[in-house]
Amino acid sequence: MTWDANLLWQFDMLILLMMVICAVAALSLKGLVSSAVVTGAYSFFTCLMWTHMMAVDVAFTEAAVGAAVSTVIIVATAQYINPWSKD
Amino acid sequence: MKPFARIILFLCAVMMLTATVDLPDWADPGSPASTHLSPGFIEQGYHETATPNVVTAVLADYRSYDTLFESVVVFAASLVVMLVLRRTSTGTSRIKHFRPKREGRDTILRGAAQSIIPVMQIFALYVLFHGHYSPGGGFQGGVIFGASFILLSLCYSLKFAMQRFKEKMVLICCACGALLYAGIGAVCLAMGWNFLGYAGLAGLLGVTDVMARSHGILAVEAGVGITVMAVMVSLYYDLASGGDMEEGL
Amino acid sequence: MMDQTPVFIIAIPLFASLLLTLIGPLGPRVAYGLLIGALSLSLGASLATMVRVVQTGQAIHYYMGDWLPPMGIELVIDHLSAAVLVMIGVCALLSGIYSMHTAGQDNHDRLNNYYALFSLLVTGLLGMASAGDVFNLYVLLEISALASYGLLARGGGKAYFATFKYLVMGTIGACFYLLGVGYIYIMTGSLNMADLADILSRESLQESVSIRIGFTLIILGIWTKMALFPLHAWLPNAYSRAGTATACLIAPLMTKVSVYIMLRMMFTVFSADYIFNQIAWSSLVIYMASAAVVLGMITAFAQRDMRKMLTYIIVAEIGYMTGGAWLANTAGYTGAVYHILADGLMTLSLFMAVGAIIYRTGDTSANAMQGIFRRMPITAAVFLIGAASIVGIPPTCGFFSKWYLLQGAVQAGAWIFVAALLIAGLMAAIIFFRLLEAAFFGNLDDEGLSVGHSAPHSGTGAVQMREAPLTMLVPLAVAGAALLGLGIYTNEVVTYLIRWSVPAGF
Repeated sequence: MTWDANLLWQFDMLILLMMVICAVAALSLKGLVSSAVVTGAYSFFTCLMWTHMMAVDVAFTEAAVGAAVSTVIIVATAQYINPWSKD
Repeated sequence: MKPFARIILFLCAVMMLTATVDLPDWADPGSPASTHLSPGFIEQGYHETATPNVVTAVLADYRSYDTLFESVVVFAASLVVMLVLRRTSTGTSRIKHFRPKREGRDTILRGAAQSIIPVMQIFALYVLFHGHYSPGGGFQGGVIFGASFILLSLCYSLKFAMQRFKEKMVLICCACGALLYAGIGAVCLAMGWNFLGYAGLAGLLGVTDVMARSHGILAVEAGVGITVMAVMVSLYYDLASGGDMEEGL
Repeated sequence: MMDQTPVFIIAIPLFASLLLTLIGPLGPRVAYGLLIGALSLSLGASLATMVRVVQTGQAIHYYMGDWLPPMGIELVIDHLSAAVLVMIGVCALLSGIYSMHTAGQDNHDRLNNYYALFSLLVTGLLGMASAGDVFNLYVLLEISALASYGLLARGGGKAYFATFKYLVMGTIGACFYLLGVGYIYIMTGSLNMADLADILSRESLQESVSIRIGFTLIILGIWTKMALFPLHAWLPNAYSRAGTATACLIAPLMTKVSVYIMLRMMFTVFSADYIFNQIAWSSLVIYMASAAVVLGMITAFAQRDMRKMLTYIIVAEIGYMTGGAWLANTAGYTGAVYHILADGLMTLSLFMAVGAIIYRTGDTSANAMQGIFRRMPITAAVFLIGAASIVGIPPTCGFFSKWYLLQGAVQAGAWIFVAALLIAGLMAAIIFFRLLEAAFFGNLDDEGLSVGHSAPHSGTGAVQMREAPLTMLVPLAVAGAALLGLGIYTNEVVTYLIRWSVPAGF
């Protein structure tokens, strides 16, 4: 299988853009739970990125660990922190 | 402090972007990473380990010492979280939580969970044992299996999940998975090979060295799977209940 | 078939830690016994390996899983790693024995899990000291870091917040290291240290910006981990608020092993020529190290809490080792390596002595030192030896490391470092003189004196002797003796171990 680096570069850019948006949103959103969910979305885009790079094993792990379980764990932890606190 | 932190972040970003100047092109077949070791793995991997998926062969055989310690890292994480958070219930919880009250009967949720969880667990086992041929392996399979218990506890309740997968059992699984991995290494050692030299299992299993490596990979992947599964569940139990195992998310 | 001892060094504590989580119901005695047994066996394996390295005069390579490097992972135990392995083994075993009373005090429940983390931390440190692969080093760095977060947080109360700070800084450090390794992997395609050294010495990579930034990231990551001066803010609180048993294990070992990693990266993966001629930061680093030494000692002087004072002294000691390594001559390098060994023992004996004093008096401030020589003579004697070693009084080992460092600094013409070393020695003398004066001549409570006056026959017996328990006293005495022994056998240590590891190009 040959790999053309120019294949679908628009798709590439779109994913990168979404990753940046998610990263900024996760930092600037007020609610902790929303931040946690956006982190999950970030993980999902990373997973797409890995797939696009044909690193399927890494993408699989990212999908299972990053997008699924760690989001749940972050949400589970966020409930103990006052979501309306200033920091 | 904030402007100072921004300056440092900016400097780090500049430094990392500068570093990309003379990196090889993306997906360049002539780059050092694709010419130095990868050809060796791709050409010999199948003949030496009978494992078509090169990633699995590298992960669980050529670099199995790393993978052993990666599963130990996961184990350490659960141990740390348990040591820091776990406390016996005192009736009045000191930690305040800010979660919405649960109301009504979640019939649809429970029905969905009932139908999804068995499929999920079968899929997890498939991912784990099919790691030789397709993407997957211990880490992914273990996470999916652990997620099925997390789903159970999300849709029913923490107590309900804990009746099926007791806390003590979780901890035993955490240690046993890694122990299985390290134990296989020790068996190889006892058979006169180096630590984690799966070819040492050939005599025990009655197969060739190459097939013994393939079986060894399977066994250590199972060990990793058990540890990761139990660790995911244990992390969820501890974090969601704040350590008192009373009520989850 | 090759000699299997190197793997036992790491595998025994690993198995012990996994088993320790399973044997909770058997009670704390069994857990303690298993821990001590595993640490002793591991130390035995380290000693056997060191003897073989010294006898054959060349590094031992152990191929994990029978795969030849660079395809597989190898353990490399040369003279430097052998010395560090034995140091880790000794410190871990002594603090393990010492932990019997204090660990039980801090952990009423789940002592076996605490010991499992203890053993895991030792596994990580031993693994780092024997790693021959940069990524493997990272994995073990994570193990020891995770275990140390858990152990430090067991201090409870204020320790949680201090540990959280350490966690953030430690994670940043580890990420920097990993990023740097990533850049280097992209440029070379290899992770094995010997192979990397071979590839990096090629002409075409000497000028590469990516390699240079990769090296910068790795070094910054390691500096964060070892708390070099501007990056040290996490260390004092994290270490001084931990439980005594934890502090005795972590304070001597974590930062020293990070220094070892720095030396490995500088001289095994990269070369002395690359670091001192291509990168040429050494004058900047010498300034940083001098600042660490002087400011660490001054801050230590200002502390009332004894353990906090000791943690600032660690910050200063890190300055010694970093400065020595970047002096770019044989004497400086010898001083730095010797100081890794010496400082591990010094910090261990001081932390154990202070821990014993706190255990008996319940007071962490300098007031607890009042009249210690009469109440706890052995503890006080070990404290005196440790203090003499930090100040640099012969025949303790602290003198010899400072001697080599000074010699190296003079040879390199790094006068600022010479000045920093001398000032720090003076400051340390003042700090410890203040404490020891109280320990010698300090009055006990009025009650103790009045008893002495009312019953003149009993003489000095009026002051109650209340030594620490035997499990604390024996490791203390051994550590004190080791400090003197290392000082007396300096020549042998330098000739048989350190000389061999001096990198080419000096």
